[in-house]
Amino acid sequence: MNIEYPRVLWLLFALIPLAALQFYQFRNGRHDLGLLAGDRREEVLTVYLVKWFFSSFFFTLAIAFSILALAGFSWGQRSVEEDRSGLDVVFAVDVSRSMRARDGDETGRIIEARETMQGIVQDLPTARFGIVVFAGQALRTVPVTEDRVAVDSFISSLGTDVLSAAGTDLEQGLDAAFAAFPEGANRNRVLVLLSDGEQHRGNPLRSAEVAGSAGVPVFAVTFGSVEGSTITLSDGSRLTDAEGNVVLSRADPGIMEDIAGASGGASFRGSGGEAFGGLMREIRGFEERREREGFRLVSVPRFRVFLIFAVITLSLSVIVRVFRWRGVV
Amino acid sequence: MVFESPGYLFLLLLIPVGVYFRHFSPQRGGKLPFAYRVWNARGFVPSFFARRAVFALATISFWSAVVALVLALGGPADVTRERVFLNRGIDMMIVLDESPSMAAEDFAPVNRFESARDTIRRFVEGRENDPVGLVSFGAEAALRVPPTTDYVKLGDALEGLRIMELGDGTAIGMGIALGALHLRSSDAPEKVMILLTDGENNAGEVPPETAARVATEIGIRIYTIGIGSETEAPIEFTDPQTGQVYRGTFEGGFDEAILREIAELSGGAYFYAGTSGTLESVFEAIDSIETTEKRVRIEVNTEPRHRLLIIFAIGALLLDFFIRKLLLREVL
Repeated sequence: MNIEYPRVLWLLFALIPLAALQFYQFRNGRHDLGLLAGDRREEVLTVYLVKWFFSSFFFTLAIAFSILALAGFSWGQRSVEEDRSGLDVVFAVDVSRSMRARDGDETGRIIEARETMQGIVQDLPTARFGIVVFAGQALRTVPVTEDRVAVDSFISSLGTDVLSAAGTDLEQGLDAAFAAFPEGANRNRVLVLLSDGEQHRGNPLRSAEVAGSAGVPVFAVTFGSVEGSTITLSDGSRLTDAEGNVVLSRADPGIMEDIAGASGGASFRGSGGEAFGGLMREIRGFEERREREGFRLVSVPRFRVFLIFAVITLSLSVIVRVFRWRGVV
Repeated sequence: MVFESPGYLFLLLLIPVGVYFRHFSPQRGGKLPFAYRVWNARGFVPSFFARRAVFALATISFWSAVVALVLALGGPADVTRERVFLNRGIDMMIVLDESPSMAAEDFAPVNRFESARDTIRRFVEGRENDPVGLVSFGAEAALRVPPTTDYVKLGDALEGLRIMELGDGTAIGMGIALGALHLRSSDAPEKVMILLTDGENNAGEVPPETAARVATEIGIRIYTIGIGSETEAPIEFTDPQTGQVYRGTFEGGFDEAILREIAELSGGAYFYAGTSGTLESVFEAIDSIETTEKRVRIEVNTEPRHRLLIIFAIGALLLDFFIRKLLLREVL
C-alpha cells in the first residue's frame, strides 16, 4: 500500500476541534429546544440527542473519508502496455559541499560519483545519457544525448564548484532529472541518483513516486559513511560552523533507500566493485525485463473507495436529520 | 478534460431527489425560527433578508459540495497525447560562426548573427525527433550543446551565444572537426552538418578541407552557407570580455571556393545567403531535403484532477456547517 500525500493525513487532527464544535452546538441546541418543548421536554431531548449524535457522527465521518480520499492511497497493481526499446539514463548528481568530504579511503565522494558515472557510461554502449547537477538548486547540464564524447568530458570535469546554491535539495534534483527525459523518445528510462543524502530538503519521496508511476525507476547510490567525515575546503582547511567547530558530514542512506523504494528502483552504497556490479545488474535487468515483457506494473489509486464512503455517510447525516422520528415527535 | 469512470456521474441524477427530500418534501420537518434570547431593550427586528441570504449560501455550498464529490468520483483527468517516434531521426550539428564580422549590419533587422540565430531557432522548432547539436567558433571552436532532441536546452544555448566570445578569428576547420567529433558516436543512419560562416578560415590548426574529409569518412553530409552582402556594411559589437564597444565599417567576404569544395566533398550542398530572407529560404531548402519518414505512436497520459474537487467539497461542507450550526444556531 502506498500513500501519495501522507502529509494530508495530519488534517485528520482537525476532526477533534470539529467534534468539539459539534458538541458546543449540541449544548446550544438542547438549551434552545428545551425552551420550546414544554411538557414533552424529556422525550424531545432524548430524540434530539440520538438524532444529533448520528447526524454529527456521519458528518464527521464524511469529512474524514474525504480527507482519506485526498491522501492518495493506492494498493494492488495493474499492467500498462509499454513497448519501448533502448535506454535513456539521466544522472542526478549531488554537487553540494558535503560531496567534498573524504571518507575512509580518502577518496572524495564526488570523485567516487564520477567514477560510478564513468563506469555506467562505459558499460552501456548503446544507451543515451543526460546529466543534471543539483545542490540547493538543480541544473540540466548535459541534455540526453548519444554524444559520449560530450558526456565523458563533462563527467571528468565535474566538481562541487558547478553550483553556488548551498544545501541539498533532492526533490529539485529528482524533478529536474525526470524533466530531462526528452519527449517523444521510444526508449526505456532510468534515473540514477548519486548523493550522500545528507541535509535533504523538499519532499523527494513524492518526486520519486511521480517518476516511478511514469515507469522511471530511480537507482540511488549513496556515497560517504554514516559515521561522518570532515569537509576539506579548497584552501586545505576544514569546514567549520559559526562557532568554529569542525563540521562532520554524515551520509544518510535511509532517505536514498526510501527514494529508490518509492520509485520501484534499488539503492546501493558507495562505489565499490560489489555495489557497482549490483547497480549494473539492476539497470540491465530492468532494460531486459521491459523489452521482453512489453508492459509495466503501476499501482492502482483507490481514492474512489473513500469517496464512496464519504458520499454515503454524508447522505446518512442528512437523512438522520431530515426524516421524522415517527411516534415520538 | 475527460472522466475516467463517467458511470458515477449518474449519481448526479439523485441530487434533485435529495434536494426535494431535504427542502421541499412535506415530511421533511418544518423550519421554525425563534428567538433564543430574552429581548433586551433593543427592539426585536429580525433582519429577514440577511438571514435568508446567509441560509441560501449555506444550502448552495452544501449541494455544490455534493456535486463536487460526485464529479470527483467520476475521476476527472487531463489527457495529454504524446507523439512517440518509433524510428530514428537525422542527427544534425549546426556549426555557427561567432567571429566579430558576424556583427555586420547588412542583414535586417539587426545583423548577420541575429538573423542566423533567429533562422536557426525557427529551423529547430520545425524539427521533430531529430537530435540537433550546436558548435560555435571564432578563433577557437566550442561545443555548446551535444546533439539532442531536448530543443529547450538547445534554444537556451543558442540564446547564450555572444559575438567574439571565442576570440577574433574564423576557425572554420576547427568548427567542422569539433562538430564531426561529437557526431562520431551517433549510430544514426543520416548525419548532417550545417556550417554558417561569413569569413575566410584564418585560425585554428585544422584546415577546413582536412576537417571536411574526416567528417565525410564518418558519413556526415555538410551543407555550407556563406552569408553576407558584397558591399561595405556598418558594424557594431561589444567585446564580451572587456565590455568595450567597437564600431566601424566592414568589408570582406567568405571563401566561396572552399565552402563549395567542402559541400561537394561530403555530398552536401553550398548555398549563398546575401540577405536574411535568402538565409531563411536556404534553411527551408535544407529542411525539405533532410526529412525522413516518421513512424509515430500516440501515447495517452492521463493526469488525475479529482483532488481540487475534494478540497473544494471539504471546504464547502465546513462552510455549510459553520453557517447553519454556529452562525444561525440551527438546532439540528
